[in-house]
Amino acid sequence: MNQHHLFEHVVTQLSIGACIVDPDLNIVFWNHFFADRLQLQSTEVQGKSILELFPEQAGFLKRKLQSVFVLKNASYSYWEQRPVVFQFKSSRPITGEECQMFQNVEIYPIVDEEQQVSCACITVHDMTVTASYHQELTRLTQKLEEEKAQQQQLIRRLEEAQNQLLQSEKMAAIGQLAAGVAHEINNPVGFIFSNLQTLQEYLQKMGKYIDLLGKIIDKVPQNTLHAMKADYVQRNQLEMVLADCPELVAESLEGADRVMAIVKSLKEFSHVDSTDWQEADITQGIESTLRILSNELKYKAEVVRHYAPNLPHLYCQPMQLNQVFMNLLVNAAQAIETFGKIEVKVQEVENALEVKIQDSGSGIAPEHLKRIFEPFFTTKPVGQGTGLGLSLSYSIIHRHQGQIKVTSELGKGTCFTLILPLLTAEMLTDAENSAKTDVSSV
Amino acid sequence: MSIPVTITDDSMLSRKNIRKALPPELNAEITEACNGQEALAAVYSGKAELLFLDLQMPIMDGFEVLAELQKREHNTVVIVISADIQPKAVERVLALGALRFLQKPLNQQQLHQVLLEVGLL
Amino acid sequence: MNADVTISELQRDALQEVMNISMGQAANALAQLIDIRVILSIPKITMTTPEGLHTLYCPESPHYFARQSFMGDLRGEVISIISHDGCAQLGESMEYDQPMTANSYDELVLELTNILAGACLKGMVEQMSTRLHLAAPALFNPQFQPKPDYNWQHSLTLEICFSIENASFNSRVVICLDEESILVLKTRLDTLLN
Repeated sequence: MNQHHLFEHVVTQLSIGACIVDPDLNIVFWNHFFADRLQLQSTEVQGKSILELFPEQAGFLKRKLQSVFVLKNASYSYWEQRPVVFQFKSSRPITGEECQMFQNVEIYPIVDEEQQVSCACITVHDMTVTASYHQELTRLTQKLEEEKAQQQQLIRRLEEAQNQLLQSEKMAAIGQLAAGVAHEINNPVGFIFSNLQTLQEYLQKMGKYIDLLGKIIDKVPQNTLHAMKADYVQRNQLEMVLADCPELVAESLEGADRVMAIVKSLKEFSHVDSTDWQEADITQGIESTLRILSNELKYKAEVVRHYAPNLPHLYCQPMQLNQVFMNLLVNAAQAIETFGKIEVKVQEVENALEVKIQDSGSGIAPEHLKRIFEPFFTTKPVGQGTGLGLSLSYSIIHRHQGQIKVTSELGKGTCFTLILPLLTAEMLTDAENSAKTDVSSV
Repeated sequence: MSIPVTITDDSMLSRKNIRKALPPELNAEITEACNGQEALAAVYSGKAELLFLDLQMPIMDGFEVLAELQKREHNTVVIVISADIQPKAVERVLALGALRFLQKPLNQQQLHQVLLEVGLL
Repeated sequence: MNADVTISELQRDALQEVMNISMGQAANALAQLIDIRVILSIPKITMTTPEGLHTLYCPESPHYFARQSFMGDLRGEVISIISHDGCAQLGESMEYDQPMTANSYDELVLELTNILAGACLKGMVEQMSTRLHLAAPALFNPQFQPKPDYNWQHSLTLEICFSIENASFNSRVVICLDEESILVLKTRLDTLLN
């Protein structure tokens, strides 16, 4: 086989497109690749302008071919930047998901004996398979990124949920402890209190008796008796004893009273009482709480109310909610140093009631804000307050499936916001049941 | 009869190529210059009836040489040989008094043709 | 490589001349193709080490990077570093479809690399009778490449800066030859000198 036949054979067997144009951009020859796809044999297109045969890419082809003829160097085009140069249909019409062929196009100068560029040869490489893989890979990578992002989000939510669970478990544990301790203390303290009260009474009686005896002795005209009495009184410091006794008992009673108050708070903190639920107007609850506190508040703050009109009744535990209001209002008053303002706002929001209690007090430091709902956390000196008020309030609001939030600015004031969803009895039992199953499945 | 020829270029290779391309019948008596200053010196000492001049050179370039030569009377034939053959450069060089402009790498036949045209052969 | 890869003064002179001529021809060819006048600097010839090459990858302003391999009598790569500034103007001048997309800019960088590499190497091919075949150019991002195990110590680099009139387009084309090719080059240059 001579060289000519050899080359011809090679060109026809090659699975790349080859098209040769002259310097006027007219076609000299093209191979089966082009012929098969356009149903036009090389002989049929000889002499025709390639720009006319491929009008959509005429501008691009002209530019590339010009550069080859002028610079006498090859020129390239890639599927990544320009997926399609020649509008051929996909070579995978049955199984392929693409509609057109992805192409790499290379244009080479063909130089004659005088070193002039006589022709340019355009070769087309079908890159569909590579392009397809590449695109699929890109798509998968993107999908992985999205999944990763979703997972990150999920992880964050799980962490949050875990924290909340830990917190409520802590609270529950403390609650149980508190209930137990309270119960144990309650009895002895109870009878200490009642005994002290009785003792107080008895002491009064004895005091009067001693007094009477003293007066009788004084009336008897016997100096030795007087001397004995004086001596006894002096040696036993009876005057002081008699003066101190009432105070001692009174203070003891106070102490016992305090202990009982703490016990009461502790019991309420852990108390789950489902019989108190009923429809109630919480603004009335707020008002009654304000009445109870009126003496305390009138020297500390001006109370301003903003109750939205036509508020729906809330299915709740009214006594418990009143405790929350009392707790917040007392805190508000205590935060104000001389005289300030307390604003109470109630309005309806999406399926819930929103209660805001804003004071103009000294505010809460940012590092404490995170901890105020912790049981026993208090910034007051020892002996004042139980440190249980807010954790109790948190617990109560939580039982109402609501939220309690706080914002504060040092020197400006604090605002507590309660969100109380408008519940029904069914929603409540459903929630309690699902809470039980959640705990058991963990 | 020999003709004094000066070849000016800062590249030794280039000077060598020009030297090789000169037709022997020219009977050239060759002086080599590395920059514009040396070229002018050669012209003023009568060693350059024919001057081959490169444009990009240190100390004094081809354009400056041409400008200098324009100021004085001389009978030197200047042929510029340069790599930079953009039309603006050619125009400028011819306006400054060069007789011809040839592109590097020097083509022997082209040089022969030019020498015939200017009457040196 | 134990062989001497340093080039002598004479050889350097000859190479400089070869490159100067190549650049002149390249600039002329480009002027025919692009309306704007492209200014090509005189090539700077240096011997480089891998660390030296790395400094190329850290220009101050944003640049595109592309590389193109060549082989034949000489073997090596052409690295082009093209500034973002000025590409829009070039694109318009070269009649790219407007407005230009990210893909158009990529195409432009690849085309510029190919044109400049081709033009610069062509001069070497013609004047030193070397055979060179350029492969297709490819974009690359040196920041995201794994650091290669540079198994060479020296490379001869020919650095050409090119800019456009009235634009802050500052780009470079660096032709790097491998150690074996330096020896071949020296032989070719000696032939020219004699």
